[in-house]
Amino acid sequence: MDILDNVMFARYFSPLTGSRPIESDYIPNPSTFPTPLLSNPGSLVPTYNFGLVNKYNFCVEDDMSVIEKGIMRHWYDVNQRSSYNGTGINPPQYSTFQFSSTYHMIYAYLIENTRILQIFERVIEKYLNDEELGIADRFENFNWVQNSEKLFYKNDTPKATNLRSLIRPSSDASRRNAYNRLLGMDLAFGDIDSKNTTLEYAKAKSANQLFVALFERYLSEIWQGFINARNTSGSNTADVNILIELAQQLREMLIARRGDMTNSYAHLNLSREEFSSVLMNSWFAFIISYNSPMVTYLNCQSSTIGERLMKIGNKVGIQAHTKCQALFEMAGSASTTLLAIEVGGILDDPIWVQQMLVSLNPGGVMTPLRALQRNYMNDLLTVINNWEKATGHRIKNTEANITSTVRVQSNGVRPQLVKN
Amino acid sequence: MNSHDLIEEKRSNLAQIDAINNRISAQPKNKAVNELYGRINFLTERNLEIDNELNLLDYSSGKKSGNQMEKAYSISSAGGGVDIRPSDEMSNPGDPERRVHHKRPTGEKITIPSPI
Repeated sequence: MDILDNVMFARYFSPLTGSRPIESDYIPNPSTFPTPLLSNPGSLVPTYNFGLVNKYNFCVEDDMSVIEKGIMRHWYDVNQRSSYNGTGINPPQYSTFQFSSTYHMIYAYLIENTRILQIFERVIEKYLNDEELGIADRFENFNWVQNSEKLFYKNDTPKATNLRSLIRPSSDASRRNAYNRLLGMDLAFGDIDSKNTTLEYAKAKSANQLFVALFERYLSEIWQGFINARNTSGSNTADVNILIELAQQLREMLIARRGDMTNSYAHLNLSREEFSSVLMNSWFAFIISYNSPMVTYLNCQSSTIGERLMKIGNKVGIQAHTKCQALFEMAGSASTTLLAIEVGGILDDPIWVQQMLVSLNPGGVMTPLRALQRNYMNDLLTVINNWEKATGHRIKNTEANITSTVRVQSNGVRPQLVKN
Repeated sequence: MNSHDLIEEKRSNLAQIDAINNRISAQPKNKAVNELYGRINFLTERNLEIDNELNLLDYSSGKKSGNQMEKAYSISSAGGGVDIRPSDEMSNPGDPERRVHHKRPTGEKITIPSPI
């Protein structure tokens, strides 16, 4: 389940202390709650999600406080390494946080790089200040605008995951700081206001500046290993050794920014920033992931998420990233890959990696293990293909790579960094 | 040898190591104890071999891969944030298909700002 599914599950089924259910002070809970559905029937690696209608209804609840409580309940469930299970004789396991939070900063970075947050900030601003976008055709869309403002743009919220304070007054700047520290990357645009050409944020001295180079090398070696694995003369075991070594280097680089990994998630550096940014980006990505009632209200229907965002951006005067489709497509896969690297024991296991490289080859018996490894291989290929599209860096043919300084082509103005 | 025998051998080796350490402590200071330390090294090396064999047995019997599979499944089934379905098949809320890969035409190239 994704983060929205998990927050929904927490709101419906995860009680507060004293076994109290999460409920509004003013509006009674319904008699029954929806349950997650199997998204891929027949697959040996089942995944579950709430239905789109139920998800949308959750986002437009009349009392936003139950959504907030669901967010906080889920935050503490992650810290306590809980699992979300169904009921019955063989209850399905929807999500488990035993091994990781299941969220990664790379997801938030890639999604936010599309300018989705700035675009929707402008949508909400225009709706609340004027009638330029018209009056909401349905009360649900009205609620969505109100809930979005109160959840993500309220100054005084006491949520543990709130990034805004007197010390860090801008959550935008806080996220940029987190992206830079963990991934060594900046967003491709500046401030939302075109009159302001700079966006200041605190640039940390301890930042993973070598992450991009190492990650691209890793993707390139994965590609080579994948190609070699398809050779009939047999795979090249040396590829696996390089992959293991690179995965270990990436892991050490990433966990160095977090701290003592034996601590719970809440007690690691960048966890709150990660959880908060993934949640916020997911909230807005969901509403355009299909032709939702909100998209229909804005009259921005389209066949892909990228085109929907571009239409909405044009409507409010903020141009979405021209490669936003590639960014959207690889966000989930990149998150899975980096999570597996950070957690360890998967992509640094030579037997697993060797099996994964050949998992897409035709023939052989389909077992749950092989199905899982195919998923990981597909995720890596998705990242490789879309990273090339989004960045222009050649992963498959590294000899054609740009070796000089990368020239940034931005949609807005790059933020000017505060020098320490 | 099965895992039970290996574990028993390891326990025996550890007991021998303890006994030899006690003998070394009881020896006069000017007495050479190289042979005793040599015996400890041999037993320690044998225990490392036993550990490797036990790991292989665990892996082949599925014990280790079970935990690894649980870990891998927990990450793979999560997908990080909201999963983006890259095609219009997802405009139908009832459509359960999740993993669809489409080739997109390459167009104008832009770069994600990079410190490189």
